[in-house]
Amino acid sequence: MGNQKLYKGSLQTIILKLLEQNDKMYGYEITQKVKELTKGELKITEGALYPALHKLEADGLLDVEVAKVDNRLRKYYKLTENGTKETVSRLAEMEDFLRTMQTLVNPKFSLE
Amino acid sequence: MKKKITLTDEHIQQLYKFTHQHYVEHFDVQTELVDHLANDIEQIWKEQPKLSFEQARDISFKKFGVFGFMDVVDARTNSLNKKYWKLAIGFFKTFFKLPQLLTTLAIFSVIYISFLIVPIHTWIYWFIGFGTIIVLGIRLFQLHKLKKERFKQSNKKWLLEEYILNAGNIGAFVYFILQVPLNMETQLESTFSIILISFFFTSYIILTYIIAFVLPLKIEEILIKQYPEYKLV
Repeated sequence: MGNQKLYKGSLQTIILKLLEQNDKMYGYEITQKVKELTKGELKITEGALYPALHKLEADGLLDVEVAKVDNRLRKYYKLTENGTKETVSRLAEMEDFLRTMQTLVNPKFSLE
Repeated sequence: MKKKITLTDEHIQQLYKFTHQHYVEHFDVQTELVDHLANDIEQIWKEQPKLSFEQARDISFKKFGVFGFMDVVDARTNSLNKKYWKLAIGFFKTFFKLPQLLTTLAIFSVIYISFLIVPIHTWIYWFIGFGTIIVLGIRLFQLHKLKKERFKQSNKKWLLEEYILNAGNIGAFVYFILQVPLNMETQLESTFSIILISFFFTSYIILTYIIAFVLPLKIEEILIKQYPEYKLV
């Protein structure tokens, strides 16, 4: 999809938001959830998802848990205390960004 | 006929092998990728039940893009590099609190006094530089042997384990220490510069000690904390 580039910078915020709502999730579940919520409009690529998760983990925003599911090990991610705080501020930033973009691309709408 | 949706143990082992063939060496990174591929293959089978395991696996692998698993491996390496240095710095800080502060002060005093009594200061640089090279050389040899033994026993490599047993690749830093007397004026006159350089060498010796001895000795404890799956396998 041509507009995937527009979503790229928001990947970490999307992950944080999903984890805020779902307690703990594993990588594949995140890709599927995003696909489902956006009705296929946004597909998170595997090559982008894991680097983003690992970065968030290294920054201390995510914690990991591992469980044996079926015949394999599954790594779950969940928000740390810092992660929860960071989610709030990143979502606020995102809302500001969206408002600014809306003003730019649709000035009439902002006057309403 | 409808194909069984869940992957067998054999499939899982094949996926581990597949990630290894695609340059993912470490068990912790492999595990996450194997679960991802397995979930995706099961999903693909739901939609296209006629595909073989290999066909479904290849469709799933293609989704990782032209670099395959490389992006994931790179990101994991970067994040564990950060983790490794955080651990080392954490131990380093303890050397500035009692009781270890006494050791720090002792090392500092020896270096400081050396600068006062040794007539040619370059000798001190050479002594510390070559001293650490010899100690690190012996230690790296021991750690390399330990790494091989551990792998032989468990048949698994963990990325953080590799970092610890490679002593954080500190060899390059030692090289930097040896460059100082070759490229700079090393005869120190002022008390301030002697204090400064003594502090630098004290920190260098402590950090080398942490990397070469403290972290490798605590490896089990560190790996259990880092990898929740460490005790599961």
